[in-house]
Amino acid sequence: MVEFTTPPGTRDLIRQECVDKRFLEQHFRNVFTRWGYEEVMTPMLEYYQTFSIANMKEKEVYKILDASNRIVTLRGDMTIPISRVVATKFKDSPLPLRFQYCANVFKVKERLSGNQNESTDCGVELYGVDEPIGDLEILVCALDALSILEGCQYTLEIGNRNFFYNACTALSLEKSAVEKLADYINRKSLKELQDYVDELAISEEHKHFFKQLPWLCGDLSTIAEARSIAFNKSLHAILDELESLCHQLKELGYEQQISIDLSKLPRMEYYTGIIFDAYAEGIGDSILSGGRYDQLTQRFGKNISAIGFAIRLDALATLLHHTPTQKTVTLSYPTSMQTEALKQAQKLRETTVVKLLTDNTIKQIQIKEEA
Amino acid sequence: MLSVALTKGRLEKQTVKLLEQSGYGIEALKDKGRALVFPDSKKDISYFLVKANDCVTYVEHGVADIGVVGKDTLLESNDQYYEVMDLGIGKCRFILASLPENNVLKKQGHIKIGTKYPTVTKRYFKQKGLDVEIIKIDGSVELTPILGLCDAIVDIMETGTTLKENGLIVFDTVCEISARVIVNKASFRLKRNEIQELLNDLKNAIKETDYD
Repeated sequence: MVEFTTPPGTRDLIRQECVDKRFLEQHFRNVFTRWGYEEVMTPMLEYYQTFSIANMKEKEVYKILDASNRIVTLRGDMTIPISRVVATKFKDSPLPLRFQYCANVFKVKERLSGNQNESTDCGVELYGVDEPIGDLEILVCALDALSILEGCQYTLEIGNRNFFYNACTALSLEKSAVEKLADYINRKSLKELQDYVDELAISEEHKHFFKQLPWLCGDLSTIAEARSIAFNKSLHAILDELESLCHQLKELGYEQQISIDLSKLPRMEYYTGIIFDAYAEGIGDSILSGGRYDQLTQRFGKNISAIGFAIRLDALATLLHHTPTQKTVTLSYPTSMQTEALKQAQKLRETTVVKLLTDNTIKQIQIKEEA
Repeated sequence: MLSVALTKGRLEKQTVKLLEQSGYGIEALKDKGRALVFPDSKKDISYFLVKANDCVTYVEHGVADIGVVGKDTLLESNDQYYEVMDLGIGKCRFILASLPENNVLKKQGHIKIGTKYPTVTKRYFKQKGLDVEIIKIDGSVELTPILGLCDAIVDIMETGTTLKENGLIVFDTVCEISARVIVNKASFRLKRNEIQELLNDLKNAIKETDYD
């Protein structure tokens, strides 16, 4: 028997679900356009190579063979394709470049986990503005977009991937040890972290650093807290930068909406500097995430600094509901009067939404406003 | 307001006891009748009792901020939560067991393992560098080597009585298990103070009691 359902991790959206999602999409598009971001559209299909060069996890990518037996993928994110576009089509263009998109992306997730394999990302990428100037601009843009959440509890959490990775480099930890530590810290799997750190051949001070790291999240006072475990100049320099960034955000009036997480680790390998996520009450995972990725375009042939973020539209749409204000009328008519009904409807459509309905129990055209 | 998902059954009694020692108002949980949600009589917390796997699901989706669940269940799940504390209760371990003459770690040729926990089993044998076929069994896993369906089993062992009665011996410990506190990723940020308070209270209660 043929079953007419959709593949795992995909879904149909109907009625109010579409209204909510499109409303949000329009809101973010407007915000990004006002910030000077031009839209870019890239194909849904890309060569696998484009995504493997950016170290997208192999098992997370949908793979298909094309007619000439090359592996193509359904795009896993938009940052990689747009970076490809910038490094090739814009390699001689003046900087900065600002691009926005709203597009469906595909990732293979664990089955039956309630996660979506197809989801809509709405975001921006800013090319050619270095840290810290570009960092502040993009954070303020994200906060501006998120202001639609007013009335909900939410926070934009900022970290820097180098706080962890520079510490590992300074201690010359092996790659496998770094991966293990990153995994435990990322999952805040504190028991395993503690056991593992105790086994490492590093000093007590450095052990303390890794054990405390998962707790370095919270309000802006976290930065001062982090000073006590930062054990070299490079770590302090990261904290200095973060401090001045937060100071500027505070001056701009965003103190309540931001927080710090120094244990934050990147979702994608290509991030090189600050990384950030937004969380809202009622949604289990982050609703916005982004960061600086200064070395990605280089892999496509042109070295341009970059930073950007994506908003997860599907998650947000479950939180915010929109009631359209458009007036709607139902125009009922007997079959014999269809021509006249269509004439009248055309006129009404200039100001309202008109739904037609045939009704042979009536003699005249009736117009009723919908509640 | 915090919502806490507790695992029904084996862990339930010990968890409730630990909460009581931490000074929480858990009377409703002790005398539960048919209710499904239990408000704390002292703090702004509501508890609900669910099956272990569901506990993880509730926390992952943010319906519960916090969950108490066995490491065995977490090892089979997909990590969309923070595992912040080892409660040290409900201790047991995953073991590799079989009939004395069936040491699969030394066997040559195709190996079949019966288990309720395919993810744990897969990871264990991958670490050992052994290629095995896993057969998912839902209950009385000890039967499979006896009947010859599998060469060995990976299962949870508390006392070892069941194994002994069936003539099986332990060949290796796969890993130790105890109850863990898991936290939803968004709650960890948005209700940080309330969560930290609960964790501290639990930590103090564990210190005062010796659960070993």
